[in-house]
Amino acid sequence: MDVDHILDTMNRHSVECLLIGGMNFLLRHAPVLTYDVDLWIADTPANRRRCEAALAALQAEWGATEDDWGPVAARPAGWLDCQALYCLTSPAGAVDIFRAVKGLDDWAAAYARAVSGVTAGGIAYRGLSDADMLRSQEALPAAEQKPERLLRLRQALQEGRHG
Amino acid sequence: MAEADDLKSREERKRERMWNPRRRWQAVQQAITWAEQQPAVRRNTRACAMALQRRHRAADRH
Repeated sequence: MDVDHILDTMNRHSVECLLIGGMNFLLRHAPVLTYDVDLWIADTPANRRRCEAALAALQAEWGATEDDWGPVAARPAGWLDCQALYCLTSPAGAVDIFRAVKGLDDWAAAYARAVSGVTAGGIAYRGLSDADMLRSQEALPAAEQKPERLLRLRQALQEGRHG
Repeated sequence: MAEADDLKSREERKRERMWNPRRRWQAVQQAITWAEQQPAVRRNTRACAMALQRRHRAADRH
C-alpha cells in the first residue's frame, strides 16, 4: 500500500479532505493494524468532482454492485454523489471515501480543529484531531468501537498532548 | 444511522469480494512496511533500545 501516493494524489488534485481512521491514529499515536486509507471529504459538488479526478488518477475501482465494478475513470462525473461512503480498491491500496462521519456533523469545523502532519515520506496531510477521533469512536455501536484506541485517545487528551 | 452502519459493512464486503487476493496481500505487506517507517510507529529507536537495556540491566542486578 502506497499511502504517500494516495495522500499526494489528493493534495495534487486540491481535494479538501481529512485523514481519519486507523492511518490517522497510526501516524499520531501508535501502530494499529489497518490496510485502508480513510478520508473524509468536504461534501461540496466541486470537491466531489476533484475527488473523482484524484481517484481516477489513482486508477481506483468501485461499483454500485459487483456486476457494475470497474475503473472509476470510466464513470460519468457525479458518481460520488450517489451515497454517503465508498470503499474502493486501487493499485496504491484500499481507500474509503466518507462524505459524512458519524458523531461529527461539520467538516469545516473539524478541519479547523485538525492537526497538520507530514509522513516520513514528506507528504503533508491534515488529520482529524484527537477530540474528534474520540467523538467519532464514541458514536460507533459498542461492538465496533476500538477499546485500545479509545484508551489512548482519552489518555492523550487528559495529558493535553494533542489537539 | 443504522443505515450508515449497514452501508459501511456492505461496501466493505463488496470490496473484499472484488479485490484480487494477490493485490490485497501486497497491499497489506506494503502497509506494514510504510507504517514501520513512520515516526509514531518506530519501535527500534535508539531511545527504545537504551530503555530496554536499562530494564535488562536492572533485572540482572536483582
